[in-house]
Amino acid sequence: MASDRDEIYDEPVQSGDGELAWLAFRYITGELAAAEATEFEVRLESDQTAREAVAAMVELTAAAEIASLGERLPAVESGSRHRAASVQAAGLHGPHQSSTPRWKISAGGMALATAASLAAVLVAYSLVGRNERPGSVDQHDSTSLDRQLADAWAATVWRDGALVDRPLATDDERPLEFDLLPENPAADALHEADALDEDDPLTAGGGSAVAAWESADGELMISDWLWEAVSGAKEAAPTEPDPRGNQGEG
Amino acid sequence: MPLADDRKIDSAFAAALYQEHAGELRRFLLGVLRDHDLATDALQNTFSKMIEVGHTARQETFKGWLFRVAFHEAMALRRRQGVDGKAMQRLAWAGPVVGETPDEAVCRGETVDRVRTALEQLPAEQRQVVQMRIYGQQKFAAIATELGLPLGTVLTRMKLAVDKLRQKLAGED
Repeated sequence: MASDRDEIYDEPVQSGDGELAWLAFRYITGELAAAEATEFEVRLESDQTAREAVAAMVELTAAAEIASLGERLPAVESGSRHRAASVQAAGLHGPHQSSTPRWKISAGGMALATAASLAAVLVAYSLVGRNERPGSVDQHDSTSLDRQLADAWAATVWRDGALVDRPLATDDERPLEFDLLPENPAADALHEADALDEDDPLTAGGGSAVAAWESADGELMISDWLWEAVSGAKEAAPTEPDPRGNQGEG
Repeated sequence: MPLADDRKIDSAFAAALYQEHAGELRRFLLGVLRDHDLATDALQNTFSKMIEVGHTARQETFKGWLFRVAFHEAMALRRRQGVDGKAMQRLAWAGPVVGETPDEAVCRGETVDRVRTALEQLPAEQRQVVQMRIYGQQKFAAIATELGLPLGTVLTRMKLAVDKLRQKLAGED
């Protein structure tokens, strides 16, 4: 079944083949015209070098996507609210370049981050709901709860060292308020904690159990405790540097 | 080629081939299909076919044979799904990896580190286009419009950046 052509092309991608790499990149990103894409697929039928170029460009693109996301995870500033403004995707500001709490992120990245955040919160609350009686959250050790949130984030977002792709849950563009989720006893428990314990890190600084919501001007607001969780997850993620450079204890 | 009988590849040899080629095959299939689930299906179909008829391929060209079978499986899946490549353009490339081994996960982490370093070394204008295209998933035409640049300039910046990132990934610098 193997052809001589397969044998001829059964070589690793040559380092100098920039044109082929560029062609492969445009192919995988859907930037080729229909005729060009068809022509390239004819080539893929028999050209092993082209096939490997496609695989290499997927690897590069995935790595660049993760790396770009890592650049945008901000440092946490305790006691302040953080805003994730929807700005143009070209933002080149890394987390160390600004001390302001504003988080510049691309539209696609914000969708991913928001969905992942929501998923992480759901997982975290399910853990709390499973392991703790609902009314006991205010008595729970705050450090341990932070760690649970961080672990949940890490497990959800950086599973296998990759950002897990999840569809944005806001199909009707409703506010991303956690307490809008129906019949969630864990959420109720967190609201009780909000009312009972002002020192709880989940609720300190005027915060609440709400993970994220949209402000009146359409900006995505993220609560402090979620940022703490995200920050903790960055410590847990093996490929991500800690933007704060401390807080290693959970 | 080790055969369990006169028709099929034995399981140990099949496992070795999977270990050696599955990661790259998966990436290739993802590039063709732009869908993580379809790519996984095509990969499974490819190795099923390898077990069934792989003994007919010459061992020295086995990698090429696997890729060719994978490509056929991808095209067949695409036809069955009734979608073409243009309909599957938006994808978070860094999606979940089914069946990834610990070694593969480590390698992927190292790859991300190398690419991150390379990204940091890119000229700002090239890095900007990379981030808008890959992270922001904006088309080149939209990027050109947003930045107020000719499309050719955007393409050139991206091509230069891809070449540098690719070379960094290959350890050429």
